[in-house]
Amino acid sequence: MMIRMLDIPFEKKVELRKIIGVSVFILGIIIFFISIVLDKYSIYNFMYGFYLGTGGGLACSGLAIAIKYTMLPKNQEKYKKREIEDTDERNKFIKKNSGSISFFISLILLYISAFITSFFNLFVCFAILGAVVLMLIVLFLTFFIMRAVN
Amino acid sequence: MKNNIQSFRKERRITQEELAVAVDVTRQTIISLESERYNASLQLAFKIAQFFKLSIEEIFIFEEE
Repeated sequence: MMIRMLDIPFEKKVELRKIIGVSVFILGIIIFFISIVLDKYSIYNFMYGFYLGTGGGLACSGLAIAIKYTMLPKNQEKYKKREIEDTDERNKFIKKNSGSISFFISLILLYISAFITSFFNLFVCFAILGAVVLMLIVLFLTFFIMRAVN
Repeated sequence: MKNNIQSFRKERRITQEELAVAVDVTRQTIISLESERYNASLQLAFKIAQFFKLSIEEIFIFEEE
């Protein structure tokens, strides 16, 4: 199912990306308003800035994605070019490989960070190790699901 | 895997861009195929063979490693 979801026709992908863009925009707006509430009630000033920044960023990028994929079918030349770039098997191969390589590099870097922080702060060390364990659980779950459906 | 894409393409005076459009890939993919840095999938191999009206074996040369 998962692999079939990734292999959907480009027309459906465009529709899906429009929906994702609008959803991300709405999520960004919600987070943006949460930041205003946090500013009134929270004692952590940092979180206000964090939510304000991420909310604004999500809203802008979501809007940009929605506009981009709404405008795309109106220009057939651009649409065809984008379709070829999107469905090109070498591009897919590169994305897949770079994804798995970057995953393992991140895992190793996180482990090294956990090792270094263990000398200074055990709380941070356990938080990083927790992230490593979570990444490994997600990796194995994805692997078993992909193996079951293919 | 070796291939004769470049020679067949030049023989027929087709540009990389034209071949890329005909088989629904980017020009960069054709460049990588011709320089043998990337191996085509079975689907793409069939498309290229159909485009040149040849068999897959005539275009792609399988070499056991």
